[in-house]
Amino acid sequence: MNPLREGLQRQRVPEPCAMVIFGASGDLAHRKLIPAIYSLAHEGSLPPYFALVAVAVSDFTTESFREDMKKAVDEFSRHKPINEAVWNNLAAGIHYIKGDFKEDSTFQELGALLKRLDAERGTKGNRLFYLSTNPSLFEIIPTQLQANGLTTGAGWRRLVIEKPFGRDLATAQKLNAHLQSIFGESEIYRIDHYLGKETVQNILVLRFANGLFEPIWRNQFIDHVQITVAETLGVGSRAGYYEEAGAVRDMMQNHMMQLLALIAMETPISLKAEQIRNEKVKVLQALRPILAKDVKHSTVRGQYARGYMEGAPVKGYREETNVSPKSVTETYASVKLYIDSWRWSGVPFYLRHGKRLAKKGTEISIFFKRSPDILFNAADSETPVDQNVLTIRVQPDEGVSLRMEAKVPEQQLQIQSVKMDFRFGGSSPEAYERLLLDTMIGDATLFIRHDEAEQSWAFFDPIIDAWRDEDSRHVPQYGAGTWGPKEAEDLLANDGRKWRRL
Amino acid sequence: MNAEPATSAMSREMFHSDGNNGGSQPCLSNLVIYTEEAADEQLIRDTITQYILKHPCRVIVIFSLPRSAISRLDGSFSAHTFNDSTGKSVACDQFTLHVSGSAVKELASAIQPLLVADLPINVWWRGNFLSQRIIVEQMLAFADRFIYDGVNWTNLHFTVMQVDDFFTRHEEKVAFTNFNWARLRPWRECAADFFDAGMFENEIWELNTVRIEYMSMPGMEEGYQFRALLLLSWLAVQLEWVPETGTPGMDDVRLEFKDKRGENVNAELVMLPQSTPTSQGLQRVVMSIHTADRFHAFIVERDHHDRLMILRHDDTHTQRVLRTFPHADSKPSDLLLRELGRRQRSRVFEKSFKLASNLLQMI
Repeated sequence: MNPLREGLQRQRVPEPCAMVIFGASGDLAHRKLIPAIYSLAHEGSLPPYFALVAVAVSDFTTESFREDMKKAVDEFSRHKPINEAVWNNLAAGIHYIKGDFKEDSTFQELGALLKRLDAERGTKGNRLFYLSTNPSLFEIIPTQLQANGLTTGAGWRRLVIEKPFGRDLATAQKLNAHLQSIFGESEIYRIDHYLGKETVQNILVLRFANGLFEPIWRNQFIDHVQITVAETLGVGSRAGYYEEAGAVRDMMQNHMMQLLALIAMETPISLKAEQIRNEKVKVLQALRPILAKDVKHSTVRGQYARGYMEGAPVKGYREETNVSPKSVTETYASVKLYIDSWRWSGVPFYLRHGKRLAKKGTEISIFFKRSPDILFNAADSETPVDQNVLTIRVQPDEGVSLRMEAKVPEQQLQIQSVKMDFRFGGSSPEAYERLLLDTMIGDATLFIRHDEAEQSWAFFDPIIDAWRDEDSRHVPQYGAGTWGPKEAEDLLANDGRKWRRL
Repeated sequence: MNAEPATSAMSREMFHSDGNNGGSQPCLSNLVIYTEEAADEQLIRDTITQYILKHPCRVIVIFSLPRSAISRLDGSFSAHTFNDSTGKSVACDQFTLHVSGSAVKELASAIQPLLVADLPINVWWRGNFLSQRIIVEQMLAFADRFIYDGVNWTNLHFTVMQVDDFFTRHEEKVAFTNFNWARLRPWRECAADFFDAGMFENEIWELNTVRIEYMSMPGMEEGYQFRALLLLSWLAVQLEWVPETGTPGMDDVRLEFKDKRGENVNAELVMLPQSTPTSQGLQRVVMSIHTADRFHAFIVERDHHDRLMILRHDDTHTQRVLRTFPHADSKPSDLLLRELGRRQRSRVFEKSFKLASNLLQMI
C-alpha cells in the first residue's frame, strides 16, 4: 500500500496498463468508452503510465482516430468543455490499428505495438482487452490473442466482454468454456452497465447499511416485488440485432436478473467480489423453474403496434425498417416468478420490460403487506389504507421513495398516502467510468460470473422455447404509448394486484 | 423560538408558486458561516450557490461586528431554489443574522434554535477565530466540524500553539478542517501518483531530499510558509521520518530528518519572489533520491495555467511529464464539498498538523 494514499479520495489507483479496445470505431466506444476514459483521466484516476490501443476495421489512422475521439469526448463527456492539457496527455498514448480480427497480422502488429508501449509509456506488460464487437467475434478474438502470444508474458491479462453472453444456456456454456480455456475466470469481466449505476450500487447500501430495512426484507412483511424497465423508444437502428434477440434476451435475462439478484440476495459475509457473487448466484439457483405448461399463466409477451408517443404517431414494430412484417419477436415481456428460499417463499416477483411504453423509467418497488384488518382496514371502515411501498428509482431521476399513510389534518379521520422522496443530486459518474476503473484495478464485484449468466439462461430458456412453440402468429399487440398488452394487466389482476404506475 | 413552522410555510409557498402541488426539500446538514467582513458577502453567496446543488443544507450566515458600540441582533429568513445545468432544482433555507457589539457574545444561543435537528452542524469561520475565542468555544459545544483557513495566520508560532491547544481540548468531539490543508489535496494526490503499485513503490523509502517552493502575497508569508510546512509534515508522518534539526531563515527554511533506515533526509522550504502580482501558493515540490552515484527526482509542478504536472527526472537527464491535473487550487465551494462529504475526522491532517506545530518550534 502506498503510504501517501492514506486519507486521499483516490484510494483505488490502477497499476500502469495498456487497454486494447477491439471494435473501437463503433458506437459504444464513441459514446461511452472513450468519454469514460477521458473522465477518468480528468479526475486523475487513470494510472500515469497508460496507453490505449484501438483496433477496428474502419479506415482510420492514429491521428484521424485521435481527432474523431476528441469530438466524441467533446460531445459525450460529462466534463465540459474539454480540458486540452488532459486530452493531449491522454491522446499521446492513443494508437490505432486497422485490421481484420481474423488475420494473424493484425494481432502481430498489436503485439509489437504493445511491446513498444511497455518501453515508451511504462505499461509494464499489463493488458486489458475489451471486446466492443459483434458477439460473433467473442470466440475468435480471444483465440487470436492466444495464438499470437498475447495472453502470456509479464504483467496481468484481463478480458472484458459485453452482453450478450450467449443466446441460450447451451451457447453461454460453450462461450464460457472457450473463454475459460484461454483466460482464468478471475481474468474475465462480463460487463453489465446496469451494475455500474450509482442507484444499483445503492441497493446494497440501502439494504445492509440501514438497520431499519433488513429485518423486514422477507416474506413475513413483503407482499410482492415489482421490477420495471420501461422504454419509450422503439427499436430504431438496432432492428437487425433486436429481431434476433427480443425483450427477454435484450434486457430481462441480464440487466433485470441482476437487479432481482441484488434485491433478493442474502447478506454477504463481506463486500468482496466473490462473496457478493456467491449470494447473487444462490438467488438465481433458487428461482422456481417455469415449466412449459405454466408459461401461459406466468408470462406475457407482446409487440408494439402503431400508436402515439408524446402526441406524435409512431410505427408499429412490424413496420420498422429491417423488421419482418411477420415478425414474432417480443418487444414486451412480463414474468411472474418465485424464489424458493426461506426468505422469499410465497412472495411473487413481477418483472416487466417493454419498448414504446408510456413513460421511460427503471425502478424496483417493494410492496409491503397491509396493516391488519383492524381499526383502519376493517371491512366496514370508511378509512381504508394502502400498502407501504419502497421504490428504488434506477433511472432517470435516481432516488428512493417510501409511500406511507398519514392523517389529513382535519377534524374527522381521513387518511392519505404521502411520499417521502430522496433524490440523488449532482452529476454522478457514468456507469462505464466506474466499471472501466474496476477492470483496471481488478475488482470484479460489479461484473457477472459465468454461473450467474448460465443460471439466468437456465431459467429463461424454457420460457423462450415455449413461446417459440406456441402459435407464434398470435403475439399480443399493444399500442405504442400504452403500458403493454392487456394480458400483462391480467397477470397481476388475477392475483388481486396491479402494476405500479410510473 | 422554533424556526421550522416558518421555514415549512415558506417552502410550501415556494413550491406552490412554482406551479407544484408539493415538493421535496432534501437537507443533509447545517452550515453556519461566520464572517466579520461585509466584503465576504459575494464570495459567500457564490460558494453557497455552488455548494447547495450538490449538498442541500440549511445555511445560517452571520455578519458580525464585535467591536461595534451598538449591541444588536437582526435576523432574516429566505428560501431559495438553485438550478443546475441539467435542470434539477434544489431548495435551501437560509437565515442571515447581523450581529454587533456585546450581542455577539450571545450568538450561539441565537443560532441553536435555527438548526435542523439531528443533522451534522458544520461551522465555517472566515477570518481569525482566535480573536473571538468565547464565541468559538460556544460554537464548538454544538458543532460537529469546524472549518477555518490558516492561510491568513500571522504570528505563526503563537497562533499554531493556540490552535493546537484547541485541537487537544476538542478533538474527541469536533473535527477540524483547515482550508490551508485542504488546498494541498491536489498536490498530495500528484505526489502519491509516483509511488502506487507498478510505479516506484520501492523508491519511496529511499527519498532523501525534499524541496518545496512557494510564493506569497505580501503580508501572508507566514500562512503560505505554514502550508508548505504542512505538506512537508505530511510526507514526514506518512514516511515515518523523525525530525532532527531545523535552521530558520527569511525565505529559506531547512530541516533534517532521519528515515526508517536511520539515513538523513534533507528538506527545505523556499519562498520564491512572486512571478506576477497575484502569484501565490505552492509552485513546485521536488522529492528526490540524491546519492553519489544516483539521481532520481519526482516533481510536482504548477504551470502558468494553474495546472499541476507530475514529472520524472533521472540519471539519464530526461524529464518527462507523466500527468497533468486540471487545478492546482480549489474554490471554497469545492473545498467544502470535499471536506464535508466525508463524515470522519482526518487523522492524517491531525497528525500532520501536530508535527508541523513541533517543527515550527525548531525553526
